[in-house]
Amino acid sequence: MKFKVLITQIILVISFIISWQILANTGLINSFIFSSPTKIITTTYDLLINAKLIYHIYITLNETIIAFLLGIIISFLVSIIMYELRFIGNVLEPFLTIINSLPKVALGPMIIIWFGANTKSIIVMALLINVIVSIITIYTSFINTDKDYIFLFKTFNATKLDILTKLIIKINYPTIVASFKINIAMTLIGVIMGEFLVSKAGLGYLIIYGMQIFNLNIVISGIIILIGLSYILYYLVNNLNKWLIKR
Amino acid sequence: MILTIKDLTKQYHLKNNDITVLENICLTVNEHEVIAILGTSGCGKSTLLSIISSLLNYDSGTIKYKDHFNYGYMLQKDMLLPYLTVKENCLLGLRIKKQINEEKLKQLDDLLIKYHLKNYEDSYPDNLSGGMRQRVALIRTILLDPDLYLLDEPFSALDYQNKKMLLNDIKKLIDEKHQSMIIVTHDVNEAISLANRIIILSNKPAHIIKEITLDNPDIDYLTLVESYIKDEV
Ligand SMILES: Nc1ncnc2c1ncn2[C@@H]1O[C@H](COP(=O)(O)OP(=O)(O)OP(=O)(O)O)[C@@H](O)[C@H]1O
Ligand SMILES: [Mg+2]
Repeated sequence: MKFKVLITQIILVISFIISWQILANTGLINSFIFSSPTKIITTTYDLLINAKLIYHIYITLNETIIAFLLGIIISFLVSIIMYELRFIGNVLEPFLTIINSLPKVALGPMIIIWFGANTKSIIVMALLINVIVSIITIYTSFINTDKDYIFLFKTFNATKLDILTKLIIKINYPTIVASFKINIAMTLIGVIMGEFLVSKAGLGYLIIYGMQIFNLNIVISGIIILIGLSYILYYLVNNLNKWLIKR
Repeated sequence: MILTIKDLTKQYHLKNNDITVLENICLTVNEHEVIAILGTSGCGKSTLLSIISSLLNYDSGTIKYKDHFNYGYMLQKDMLLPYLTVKENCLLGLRIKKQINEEKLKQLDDLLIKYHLKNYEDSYPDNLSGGMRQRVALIRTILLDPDLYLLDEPFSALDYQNKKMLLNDIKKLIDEKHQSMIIVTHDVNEAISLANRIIILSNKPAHIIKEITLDNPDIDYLTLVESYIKDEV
């Protein structure tokens, strides 16, 4: 079954690429607008040689990793603070929900004015997107910890710190780890969005640049590389999760 | 005297209304005494134990404890931590109270063997049956060596034989150490065979319908207790 699904998927991709090429070669689609697989390959090669493609990938990757790690740390700490100081938690919760439902890209102009047209803005943009979701996920699971567990700890005269470190964090560990997966996807969205808005390098920049000079080959190459990159990142985080969850 | 409860009343304050679950409860627990609490489901038995353990607050009345009051509460659900091994689950209370020592570890080992858990000491609770889990929870409580055991329907997941064995075990332990126990149960026979005193609670809001001291071997307590219970279903 699994194998059959995989084969079908591969066939689907290959036939898509082949028909795309045929349609472009026969002129049924305008390859100036829709590009073609061979054009994408040559463009990618060209970017690699002449346009420092590796450098752009590095920039995007770098921003993504920084925002991802910062996102994890911030959301973890904020969740703990909101949990421990429940008053703050209760006050903040509705604001988080509101910010969460806001399309963060709308805040782009403000972020640029506050932080400047540079990497800082890109990271802030990514953080804004990944942190909110992660906090909501982790904090919600903290406060939904079965009350009887807390009762049990209290029968042992446990301190607040005992309850936090020996119960809350440990029992919600699977959720915390699972939030990394959401986090990485969100981070990449944020980074690319940020690069669209401000950057002078990175895959997001490359895509926008391709659009500005109306070279659709560059745009599509950039998108395909981005797909590859996001898949690799997701794969890595997913395996990291599996490894972390194994005890 | 271990503790004295006077005119205890407890309400749960819900969004739209307050429900009274305990009403004018008066109860004294003496040294080396076993008290069984009988009452229909939902009448407030667990709530009473949680109040005695200071986990829940109450609305009026007083509770006086003896000095250095030390209890061991086996909650209605076993509440084993899924991320700790059987052994670590047993030690949880001691670990938090920072009371682990050689002697306790030895006692733990004996208990694990006695309750057929020795082979599972490094397993996680997911791999245990309901009855095994309850035994782990029991060991966790016994290791605390409390003045007062609070057992909320313990061993509901065990078969009759094992249940009887475990209860006799605790009874023996308590006798040896002159400890006390409050046990919540649905089983009248169990209550009679274990307890010095039986408290029968009414339906919610629970008040004490009858307190029966089991000190006269000539009385047919089973019939007596059941005569009070049958009105409360
Ligand atoms: N946290 C809570 N908030 C509101 N009501 C509650 C809460 N906990 C219990 N109750 C209510 O209080 C009543 C007594 O609950 P409790 O758990 O003490 O009953 P019980 O006698 O232990 O029942 P059982 O034999 O089924 O375990 C029940 O009717 C229950 O619905
Ligand atoms: Mg109960």
